[in-house]
Amino acid sequence: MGRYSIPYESLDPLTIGATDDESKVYRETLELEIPDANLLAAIYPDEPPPVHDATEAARAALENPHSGPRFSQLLAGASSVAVVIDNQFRPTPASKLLPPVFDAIEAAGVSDARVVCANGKVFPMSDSDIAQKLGADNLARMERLGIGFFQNEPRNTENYSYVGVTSRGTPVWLHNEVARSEVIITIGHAQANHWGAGGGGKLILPGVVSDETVESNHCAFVPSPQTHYGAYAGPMRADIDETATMCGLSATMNVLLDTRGRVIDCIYGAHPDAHVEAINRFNDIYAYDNPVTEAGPADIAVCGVFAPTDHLFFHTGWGCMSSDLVVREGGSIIYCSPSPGVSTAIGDFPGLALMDLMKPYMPASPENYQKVLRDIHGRNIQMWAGCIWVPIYEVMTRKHLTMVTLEENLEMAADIGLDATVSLDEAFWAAMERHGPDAKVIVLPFARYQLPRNAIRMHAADVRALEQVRL
Amino acid sequence: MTVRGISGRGAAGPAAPPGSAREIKGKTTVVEVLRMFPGGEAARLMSRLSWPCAHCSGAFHEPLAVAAKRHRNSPAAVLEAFRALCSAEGPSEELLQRAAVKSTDR
Repeated sequence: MGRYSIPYESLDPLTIGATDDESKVYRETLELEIPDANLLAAIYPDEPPPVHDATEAARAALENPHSGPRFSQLLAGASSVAVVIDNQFRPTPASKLLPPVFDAIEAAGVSDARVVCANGKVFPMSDSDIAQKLGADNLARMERLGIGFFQNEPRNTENYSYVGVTSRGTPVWLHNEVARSEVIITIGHAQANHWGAGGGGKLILPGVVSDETVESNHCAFVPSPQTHYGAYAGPMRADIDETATMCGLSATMNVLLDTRGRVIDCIYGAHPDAHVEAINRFNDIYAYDNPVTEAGPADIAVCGVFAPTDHLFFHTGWGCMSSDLVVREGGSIIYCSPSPGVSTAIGDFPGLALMDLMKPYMPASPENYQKVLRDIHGRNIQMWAGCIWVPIYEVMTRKHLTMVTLEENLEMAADIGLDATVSLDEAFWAAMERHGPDAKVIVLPFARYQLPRNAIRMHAADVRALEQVRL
Repeated sequence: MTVRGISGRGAAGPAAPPGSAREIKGKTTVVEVLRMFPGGEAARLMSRLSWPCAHCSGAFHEPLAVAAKRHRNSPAAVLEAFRALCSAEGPSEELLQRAAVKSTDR
């Protein structure tokens, strides 16, 4: 019998600015004993140490690009610049990364500059969020330098400029403050995810484009079987990067954060090369050799959540899609997520907020998934939110999902139709009962980061049937 | 040094609630109605209607009547349901079901 620690964490109240403040981090582990004979694999990544100083790492990256010109060269002679940062639901420590960016802008004498928050269709940051995300010193400096701050308001069509249509048919309207800038740089968190990858061009789409652009991309490509963890060359991520190219994205600065939320790498360079490199480095750490290849798929996956994720299952639950890749059809995914909910400027939201959008389609079944697809086609489902709950739902049509969560979430889970419990032991042994004494178990403590290496599709030529991953 | 002077800052921040917090009209925005019910009653009603509005950037500008049309619910029934949140008993199950019906017309 082996004993395994499953991280059971979240950040409270928001992820931003919390990476140096342990008091804002809800850290706990759940312990689980698994019979040795049942264990297929327990995969704990070998993470490099964090950088000593994130600000200096960013400064060094800007002057040592992975590809393309140094940031200072990019700015030389430029008349305007847009710095696009991610929002309150991403853990990128913008407050630490912005000083060398502002140093370079100031040194180059670029007076027409702005910071734009890539909040896509998510509600904008409050003043408190902005203060945490950007930091007081940076805000004071922005005021001194006349650098404006803008957020995405995708339904306000007057704020957007038409750019064109991507090769896959997505019409692109770009935020005017970005469109009018000669140099565009994004600062984000690079990680694999179920859309292929996060960060880089994704701060352009969905970050700073219009409602129509977000929904066109998401409706068309989220349901694709080729949109999955590691599918950088899949249709969704490829459309995103093409959009970013069309929008004139000059360069990206990409941080890798470890499972404690600390910066472990910072890669700057031309779009899309620098982000590709960041994802390659991410995959070197968090992708694992797929045990399914030799031993067959797992019957049960036990997944944990960790600090760089946050307070809503809507954000922590992405690992359902990565664990899906190594669990057999009809198998079980046990997802340990406290999901304490969040207090915002417009009210308190429970830990299962937005997961309730799947309720009209419950129980999850292949037949009901057809209703989901019809409602996506009919634009009856808002895919800025559906881009998360729909993939989780789709997994639930094929696999049994059990949440292990805080007691306060149980009533809402039951109302939605989600299987939930406060006890990992109870969830595990119920799954063992379903799958029998020979059930094979995989432990993915950091499932939101972890992906089987053979799911990686970095180049278009690599795109092929997922069945080759799942066997 | 104040940070209020930064261009664009706060432009999308929560709007002030209407003069009377109980006057819910078709033009009342999603954020305004959310702020009228800090206990989360309005957010739960939106959840019941399968609206993601409480988390959407559109919440700051979108009036309830427009949101109802966008999500193919009856504006009249939706308004009635939100207004019923002001009563001690809240909206009835019959009203909730009526408000949650999605039109098949597009």
